[in-house]
Amino acid sequence: MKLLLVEDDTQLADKLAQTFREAGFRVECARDGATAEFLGATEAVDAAVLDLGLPQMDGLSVLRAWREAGLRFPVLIMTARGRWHDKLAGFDAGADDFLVKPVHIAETVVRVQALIRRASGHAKAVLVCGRLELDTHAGRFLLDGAPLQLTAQERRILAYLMHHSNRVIPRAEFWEHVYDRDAEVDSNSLDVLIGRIRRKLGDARLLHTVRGQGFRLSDQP
Amino acid sequence: MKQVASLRQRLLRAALWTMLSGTLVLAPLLAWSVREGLLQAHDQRLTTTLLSLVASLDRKADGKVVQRRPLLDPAFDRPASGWYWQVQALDTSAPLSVSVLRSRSLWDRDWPLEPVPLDAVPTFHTAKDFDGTPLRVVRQRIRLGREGAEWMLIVVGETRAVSAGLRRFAVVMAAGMAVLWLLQWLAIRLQVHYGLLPLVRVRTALQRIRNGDQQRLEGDWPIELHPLVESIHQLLERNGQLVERARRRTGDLAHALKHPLSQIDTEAQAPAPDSWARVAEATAHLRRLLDRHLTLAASAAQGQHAAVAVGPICDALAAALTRIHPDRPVQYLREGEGHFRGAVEDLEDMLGNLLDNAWKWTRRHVWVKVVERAGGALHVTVRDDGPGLDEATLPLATQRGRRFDERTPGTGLGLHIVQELATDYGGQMDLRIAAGGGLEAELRFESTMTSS
Repeated sequence: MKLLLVEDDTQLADKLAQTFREAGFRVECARDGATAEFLGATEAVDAAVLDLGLPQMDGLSVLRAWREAGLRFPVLIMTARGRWHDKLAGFDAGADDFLVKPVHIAETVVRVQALIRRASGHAKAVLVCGRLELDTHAGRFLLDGAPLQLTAQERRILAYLMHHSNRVIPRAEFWEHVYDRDAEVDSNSLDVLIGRIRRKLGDARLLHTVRGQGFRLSDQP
Repeated sequence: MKQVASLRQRLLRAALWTMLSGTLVLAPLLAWSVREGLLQAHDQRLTTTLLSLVASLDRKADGKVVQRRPLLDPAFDRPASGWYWQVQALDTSAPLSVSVLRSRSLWDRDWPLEPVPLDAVPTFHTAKDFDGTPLRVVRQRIRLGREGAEWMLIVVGETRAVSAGLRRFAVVMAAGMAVLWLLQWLAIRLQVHYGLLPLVRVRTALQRIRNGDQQRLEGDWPIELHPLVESIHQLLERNGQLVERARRRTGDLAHALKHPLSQIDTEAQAPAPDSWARVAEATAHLRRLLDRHLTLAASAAQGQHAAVAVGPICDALAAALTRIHPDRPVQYLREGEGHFRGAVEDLEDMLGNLLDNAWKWTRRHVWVKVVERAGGALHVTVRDDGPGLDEATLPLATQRGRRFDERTPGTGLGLHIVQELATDYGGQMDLRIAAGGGLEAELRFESTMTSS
């Protein structure tokens, strides 16, 4: 999942980015409103955490610009102003959720995970595909009720597939949403990782290759 | 503060302009009127002389015109007196010896024929004497006898008396006006001083209030100052309430800070492995206190505000809560409409906290009822069908930081903030058990036209 993190407080931004990366997110950071607007409009973002008090362009203006451009990814706003008036202004501009600063970093991650899950059309916190389950709050995979041991990159790929189960995901979409922008990626690495995940899923046979198109996670053949 | 002219200066300036304008209009008008009067009197004298002249003329059988008796005014006999008369034949065929009769004052001169229209009635115009003295001339065309020839009668009188009269009048008028100006100016200064005395008394009384010598503007005041005095009393009362409220809240804050601070202090003096958890708990407590006091400090209850429609704000808050709690399928129902006269931010905080509370606890429905009564009284009821509270815990629900279920997210400050804000606006919040279970919170503002 690719998260756009917009926060001008370097210390807080670094902590948030680190926690989100540990939770399996690919994180793009912006320190000001203008950069945030540009990244939101040009990158394939799954969700954004947006501070309202930003240099160059305030957070509400950035959000309005995104929504006016037709960008519908979920946005969690962070604000130091906790009055309902500010919250309503945020929702009016197109926010999906809000947090009042100082924020609990763990809560921020859970909120963003919930936003992404709901944006993918999943109402419950536990995503299910056949015998495989993903507890989005705990960030844990269970196969037949037993924990599934995955590397960080494997977890990212499988989480993305779980959120978009029953849909063919092209290779390019994995590059955009799962891999870091600056990472040097071998063209075969995705196949290697998919192969490893498939082996770990064993006889569940959930991960299918759609020749010439990409990969699909489904309990249907 | 921008420096503007004092009231005294403004009043004196206005009076000065009025007096000056009056003088500039009246003085020329009076002078013109007097001059016209003097001139008319002079013309009347000339007309009378002309009639006397006509009466004194006679036409003999041979057609000759003679003056049977002289005019009485001796000025017509004194040479170059400025008073002349002349009778001149208009018939050019008349013998030269009888063509002109003239007063002795003309001596051997003829009054020149002027290019001025001649009529059968007296006509007037001005002229100059041989030495340049201004004169007034009256002329008339008459026929002596039924078939006689036409004659032109001229009577001339100098106007020095008119000019002298005008000069006298100007001197008297200037002197009179100067005296009038002086008296008026003194009277205006006295009026201004006397009229402004109550304001000086207000200033003195306010100074005494500032010094703490008195609490109100004591004494009787002119009726025009009653609204001002009333407003000052309201302001003083409101300030007193604000100071008292600020003092109480500062005391509350200081008292509330003691516990978490002493908790942090204790952990700092003797750190234990799980100190971080207790410090985190204390800082969370501090944060909640900070939120509450920031919200109350931002309250704008003391200002004057336009009426705010309550219904749309309830609907916007409900829409926001639907997005905040997407996993809770709450059915929101609103009936009625009313207006709140206060800061929209404060109304949003009150309704937001009540609706947020209802949203967290409801099983399925949240009802909002808005009623605006005659006179501006506003009642807003927020009801849910959740587990509610029992009679014993109801009075505790609005206590600061009181939470009845630690499993539900929240600070325990929402209802307390609502109650404080409602009090700021002279209203109140009542909590009761709803008819079908659940909690019912009612905000009541008996008159939202005035805030506390």
